[in-house]
Amino acid sequence: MIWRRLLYFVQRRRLEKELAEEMAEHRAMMGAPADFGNAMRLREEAGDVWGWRWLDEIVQDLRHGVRVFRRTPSFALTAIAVLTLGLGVNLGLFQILNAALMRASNLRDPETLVKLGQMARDRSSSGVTYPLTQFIQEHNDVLASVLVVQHLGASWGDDLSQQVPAAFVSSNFFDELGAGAVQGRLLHDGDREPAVVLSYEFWQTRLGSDPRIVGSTVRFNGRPAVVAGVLTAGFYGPRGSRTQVWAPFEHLEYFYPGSQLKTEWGPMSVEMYARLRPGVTLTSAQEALRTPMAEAARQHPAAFGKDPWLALSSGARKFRRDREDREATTVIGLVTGLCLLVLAVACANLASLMVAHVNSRIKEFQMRAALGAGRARVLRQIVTECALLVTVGLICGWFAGYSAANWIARQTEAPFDVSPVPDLRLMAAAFGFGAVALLGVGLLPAWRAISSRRLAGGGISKSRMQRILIGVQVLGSCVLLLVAGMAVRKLQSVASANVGFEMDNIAVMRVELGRYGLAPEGAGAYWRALRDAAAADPRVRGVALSTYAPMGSSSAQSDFRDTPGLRVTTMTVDPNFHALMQIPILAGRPLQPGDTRESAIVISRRLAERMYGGTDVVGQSFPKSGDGKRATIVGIAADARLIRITASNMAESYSPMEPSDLPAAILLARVESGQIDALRAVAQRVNPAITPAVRWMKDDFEKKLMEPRMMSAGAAFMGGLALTLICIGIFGLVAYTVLLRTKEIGIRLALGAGRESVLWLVLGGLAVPVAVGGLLGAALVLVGLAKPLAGAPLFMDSSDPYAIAASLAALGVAGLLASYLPAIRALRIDAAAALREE
Amino acid sequence: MMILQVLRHGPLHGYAVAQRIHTLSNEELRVEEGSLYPALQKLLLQGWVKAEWTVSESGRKVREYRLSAAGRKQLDTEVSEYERMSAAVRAVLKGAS
Repeated sequence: MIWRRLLYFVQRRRLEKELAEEMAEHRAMMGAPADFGNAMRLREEAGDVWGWRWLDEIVQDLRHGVRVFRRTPSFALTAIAVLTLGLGVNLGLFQILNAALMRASNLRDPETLVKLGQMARDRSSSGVTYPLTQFIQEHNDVLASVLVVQHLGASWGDDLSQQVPAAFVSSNFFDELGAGAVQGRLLHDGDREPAVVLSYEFWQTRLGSDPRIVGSTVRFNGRPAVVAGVLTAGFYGPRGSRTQVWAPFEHLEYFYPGSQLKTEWGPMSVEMYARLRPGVTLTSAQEALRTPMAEAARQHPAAFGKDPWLALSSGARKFRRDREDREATTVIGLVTGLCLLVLAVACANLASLMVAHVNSRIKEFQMRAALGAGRARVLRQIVTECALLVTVGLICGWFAGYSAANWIARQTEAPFDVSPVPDLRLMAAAFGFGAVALLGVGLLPAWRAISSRRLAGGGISKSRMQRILIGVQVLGSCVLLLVAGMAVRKLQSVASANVGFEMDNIAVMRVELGRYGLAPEGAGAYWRALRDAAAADPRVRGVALSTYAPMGSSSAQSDFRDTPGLRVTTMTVDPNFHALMQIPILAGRPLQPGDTRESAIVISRRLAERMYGGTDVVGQSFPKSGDGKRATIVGIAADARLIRITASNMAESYSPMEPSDLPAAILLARVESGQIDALRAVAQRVNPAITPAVRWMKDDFEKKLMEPRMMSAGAAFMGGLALTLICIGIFGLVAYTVLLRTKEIGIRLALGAGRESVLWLVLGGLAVPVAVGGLLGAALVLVGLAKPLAGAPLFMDSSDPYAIAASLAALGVAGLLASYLPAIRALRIDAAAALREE
Repeated sequence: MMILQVLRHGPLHGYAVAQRIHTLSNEELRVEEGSLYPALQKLLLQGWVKAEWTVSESGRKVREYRLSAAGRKQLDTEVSEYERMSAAVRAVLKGAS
């Protein structure tokens, strides 16, 4: 039967015509053709049997809707623009969040993939020493396989100073992660020759997609190597990095002769991943690995802290540890909330537009009702029109969102691709948003149309609904603007405020001597030679060593029992560090040659104040309480934001370097403006075989600013969007009020009413919803959102008076401007002309 | 049921169906065109009749309806159902008088 119905639908034009012919013949055969009745009606009734009438009606409704929109293009365009922006923001952000935080990368079975970090009660590291990875691999029954990655920069081609992001990986790496090759093959066990694999991006941009590259010999880190193949696009490895060249870990010594990474139990480490055996959970694996860890610590006590264990993080959560996961959840929650707020404002805006639009069409609806249209039919007409608007808005919004997300991903060089093909979840989200918008837009005016039918006279009821809608818009805009204000202020304070040290003309030289096979003694000799050579070069003003570079991407951080909530960046530096970075010593002395980790430590002022309640603590033991090794405080340094520049819960401690730190040390140098090559030249003179990577600290700082910049740009965009929407809303409402009351205003003006009373008549209705919405919005931000905004990882100051004042002022000015134009029109109304209308 | 019954003896076009019912019922029943055509369309939808164009004896182009196998079966069940019902009604009427 369904088939016959469909068949009828396909051939309905012909069949309808046949029916008409048949009836015409019938009529002709009858003695009294007049008895046949209305042929048209008969035909329709007969055709209805097939059950396709609803479709005809929808087509009718759509046609009518399009006609209406063409008659009032300003309404349709505004509505579509509002929808595009409202939905576009949501869809774009969803794309980015999905790609950056939620989607479990493009790895095979991310649920059973884990990252392992070496933890102990007194120290933690996101990496694991290579010998430990091998020890764990042999002494466990919960891991099916162990993967090792070491990310670093290496030179490509003959120019040794040209560094590309590279990684050395174990031979099972690509197979376990499910990577594929577009050209050639990937790395496999037992590759006799040192081969490299290229990223798709590198192959495309640097090598011009040359297919002959596979099998050819290239120079990688100065050594010849064969190109085995090219990875498929979109493979960013487990940690999501734009690594361009992948080389086999087993041939590490070939590219870095004498490297001791494979044999030393510290301090250098590699990234360790593992595939869990089937049926093994993350927690049970973590427990089971305590035993081999304790055994390894017993054999190599110097390499481990107290009670060592391995912390596992799941690939399904992008290898985020608990704290990072909480921070990510906070960000996702806040951003999603703000997006939904934009959508809510857009919906309220549309609904109020639509109410006005429907009210202006009341005569049309009454006409239809008078001609016998059912209430349901009129309702459906409106819903169909809304569906049409939402569909167009959704398509535009999706396109806008995708373009924006793609642009942002490209601008930030984010390690993910924004796919133009929506995945199922995205489609569901889009439909969800669309439905919310449809309900917000369609139902309210539809309901109004019905109730206005009951008012036979066609009077327009008071626009209480309009005021509620304006209130909602003010509330949402207020929240968005306040958050935007805070984000912008945060960026200002981060970018302009003193980071606590002088980074101008500081160059960072990174050379991982351990990979060149320089053990502590050799490394010490290298650094001494480098320091002497630098002192002889007039372009280099001073140098210092540190294990981590300020503004760098890696650091060591500790939490102390005495200072809950405070994260301490634990720096290991040489005695020149504070002088070079121009971090003032407030009390005591800086570190000196001869200090050891047990004898001396310098801590920052905030740490002293939080831990001891004051800065008069030189000579005390650090940390205040604890059963581990304790050092004596020799000096108090001024606060400096070394690593996490946006965080407000950071403090610093500086310990002297030990010989074992030297192979992994980083050289900081203050050089003459622009003379970064001087440092390269010095290094070249000291040892031509070692090619360090040198860059400006200022550039690292700029990179760090990217995140707050994106944050504040995003927030400001959303704030601006909210402002635009509220302006449209207020403008529309005031203009509409003036239109409705033209006659009344005309009479009042003619009778000599003052301008103030007319303005009050027009704008008075707005006062209460604006005030209530504004107050509620402000309260929501200052009370409800203060905590998540102020905490990690956003650290926004929700009580910043400038942010609040600026946001509210922007809202007020925009509101006044939006109501000014139509209100002025009210004052210009000519009484005679107004009365002549209708 | 009546339409199916008159089609049992061979294909007929719409006007003829109405005429046949009219004459068979001793001019007692008259099928309105307003209900004839929706009924015919319903039969088509159910697949109980099939329609095809032919030329009538008077030389007019007409569409004839022919009973299908499914329609024959349906007619049999409907007739027996009707007879059962009308027998029951008759029995009640007899008993009451």
